[in-house]
Amino acid sequence: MDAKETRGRGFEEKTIRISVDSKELPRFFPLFQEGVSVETDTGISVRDFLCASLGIDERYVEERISTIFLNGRPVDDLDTSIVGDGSVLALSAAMPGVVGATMRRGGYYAAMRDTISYRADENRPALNRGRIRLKLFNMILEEIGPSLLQAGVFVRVDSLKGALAGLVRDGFLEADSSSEYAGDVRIVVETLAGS
Amino acid sequence: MDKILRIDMGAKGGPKVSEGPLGDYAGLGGRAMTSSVVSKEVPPLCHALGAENKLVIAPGMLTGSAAVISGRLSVGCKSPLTGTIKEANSGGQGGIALARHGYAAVILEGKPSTDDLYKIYISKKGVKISVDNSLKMLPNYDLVNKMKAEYGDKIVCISIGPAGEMKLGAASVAVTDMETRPSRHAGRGGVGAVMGAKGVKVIVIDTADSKIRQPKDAEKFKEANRKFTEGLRSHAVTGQALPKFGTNVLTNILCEAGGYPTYNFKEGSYKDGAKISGETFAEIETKRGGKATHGCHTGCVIQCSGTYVDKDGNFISKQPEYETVWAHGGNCGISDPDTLAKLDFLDDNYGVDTIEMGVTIGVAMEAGLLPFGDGEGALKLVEEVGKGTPLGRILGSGAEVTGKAFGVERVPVVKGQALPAYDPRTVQGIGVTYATSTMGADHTAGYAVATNILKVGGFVDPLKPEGQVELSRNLQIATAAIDSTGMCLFIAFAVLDQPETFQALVDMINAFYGLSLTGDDVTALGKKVLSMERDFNARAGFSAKHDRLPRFFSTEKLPPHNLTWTMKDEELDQVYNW
Ligand code: SF4
Repeated sequence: MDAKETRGRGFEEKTIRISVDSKELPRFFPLFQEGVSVETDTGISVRDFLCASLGIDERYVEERISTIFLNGRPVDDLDTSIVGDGSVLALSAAMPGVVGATMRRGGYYAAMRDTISYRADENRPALNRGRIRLKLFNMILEEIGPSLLQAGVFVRVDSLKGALAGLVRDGFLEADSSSEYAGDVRIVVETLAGS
Repeated sequence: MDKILRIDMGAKGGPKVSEGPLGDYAGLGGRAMTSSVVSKEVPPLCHALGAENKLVIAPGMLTGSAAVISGRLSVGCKSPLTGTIKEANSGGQGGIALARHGYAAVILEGKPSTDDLYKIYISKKGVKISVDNSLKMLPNYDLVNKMKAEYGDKIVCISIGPAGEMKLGAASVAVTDMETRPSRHAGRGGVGAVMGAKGVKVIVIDTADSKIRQPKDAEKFKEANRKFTEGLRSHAVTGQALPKFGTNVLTNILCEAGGYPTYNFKEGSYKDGAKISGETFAEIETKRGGKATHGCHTGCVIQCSGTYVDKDGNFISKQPEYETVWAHGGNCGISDPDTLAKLDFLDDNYGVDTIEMGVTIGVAMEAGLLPFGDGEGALKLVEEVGKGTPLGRILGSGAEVTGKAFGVERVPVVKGQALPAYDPRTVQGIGVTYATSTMGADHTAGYAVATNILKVGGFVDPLKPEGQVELSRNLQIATAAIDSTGMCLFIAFAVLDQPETFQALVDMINAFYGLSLTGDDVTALGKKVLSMERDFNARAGFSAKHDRLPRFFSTEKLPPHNLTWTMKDEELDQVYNW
């Protein structure tokens, strides 16, 4: 385990680079449950965000990410749902239970949660640069979390401290009480070669 | 499964055992069996704890065979909690053990005239009933250990804890799992109280020399079973999400959707949801050396359960299910996984329904008995139930009684039974099922079964306004059918998406019984079960007016979506119009 700071180009925040053994990577997964931020074009469709901005395979998006929430509203149409600066996007695989089935994108039971479904806003967010808070759950978390960590994400300092506390406790990292950070910080987590 | 065991607990001179053929009940299993017996033999106006009520314990149609994931057990009676007919469903080894001794049902009848406590021992050699007052007020785990010491390891126990003996409305019937732990429960509706009223503490089933049930057409059965297993394993929900994270994988999703009832149904999203999610529990279990993937009975190929251990690797409880984590967790503002696992254990040990208990504690918090978020306080309250203190007896009688005792307005129950973990203001469609279910508020009553494949009542356009009602109706019909097979309801997801998996299930039933059922027949079975249940409830004095949600759902807006329940009464009344 190794952690060092660099100043990332194009970002105001410092970047903390962390190298971990691949089996320790899940220690960072709770960050995704709470939500990490990514810098991206905004005013674009969820499909474009996932496929063009994040580089996720289109087929994976279609078949695997079957449950999507945009600002707490279940999404049915990837093309008419638009992400804006500050949007919260949550991604999940197909879920159990009748309610799990109702949340599924364009699913047969979608009518059962009709009142909360995402509807395209007349005030479409402007095309711009901004940040989107991304939450990953269940299998999606395990499957695309690692590559996002490698590409770099912004996390809340308090949340990161929680993840790092576990590493300190288990002897992977030396405790460092100095904390010049507040708000968000960018982290890049790479796996050690051969791990 | 060619016989029914009846035990008249009120017979003169002590309990009387009789075994008879199936008669009118031939071909029935699970919920179809329990609801048939109750609707035919129990006077609907009887007192649920009186001699006239019967407790029917029935394995499903395929239980005890080699069919995968078919070991579910139905426990039915008139419910002391709701006053309606009740079927509570449990995992564990109980169904398999009874079915392999040939019993399609065990029916406890009558009521002893003394307060002696009985144990029933079923083995290859027959049935033995004896008084054992040393078992009085034993929690389930201690009881099972005692039974193992007495009868050896090859046993399955169906038992009640102190709550059942005290005949409390939240009392469950416990069933031992593959490790002979009383961790699986027929939880809902106070079925444990009815067992307690019959004076029966435990049914011990000796599995020695019991035989696997054989299909009529072995080849076809084997092939259908193979296809069915394949279907379950290849589906994202039954092959991955449930095995990996259990049902609690829903916590993050429901919080995100704003449909996760929080602080006694005041809010729709719990800020600490991620701390108690299925993902978090699985990670803790794996790190501590517990198990994140485990079956609750032999032959389960989904394995949504697990084992939760403390940081030193000692068993705390089985992996708590979504409903439990919600009821005790977000609903009460408690976010410590260890505390939630301890609450799950206490519920199992004292024999109470985790949903009813969690919702009751939420109501107690609302009343100011303890603050939201007080995990230690919640543990103490469940201890009170186990000890049978006056406060414990009130709490153990469920959310409705507790709400009345403490003057609380926001009491989330339908027909006296606590609502499960989905707020009907956010997912209006499930509110229809909560309101109209024959069982009181019940999330499993209308499951996501293949209604579009079954085409129950024709194809439904879910986008029409009446779609919600039709969907709920169809789900309830299909669920009643699945509950009768002995299959775990979680097969529903694979069956929903994969017509060939649904067909494999029908083929399996046909090959087992030498029948030629179609999807329509399965639908007809579901309708028949619901009609019987509905008829029982009508004779017990229930009408459309009882098919309603508590008023606060219509008057209080639920953040973050700020919605109220808007379904019209006239629409709800259409559910049973078929
Ligand atoms: S899927 Fe879960 S509840 Fe169903 S039988 Fe398997 S372990 Fe039990």
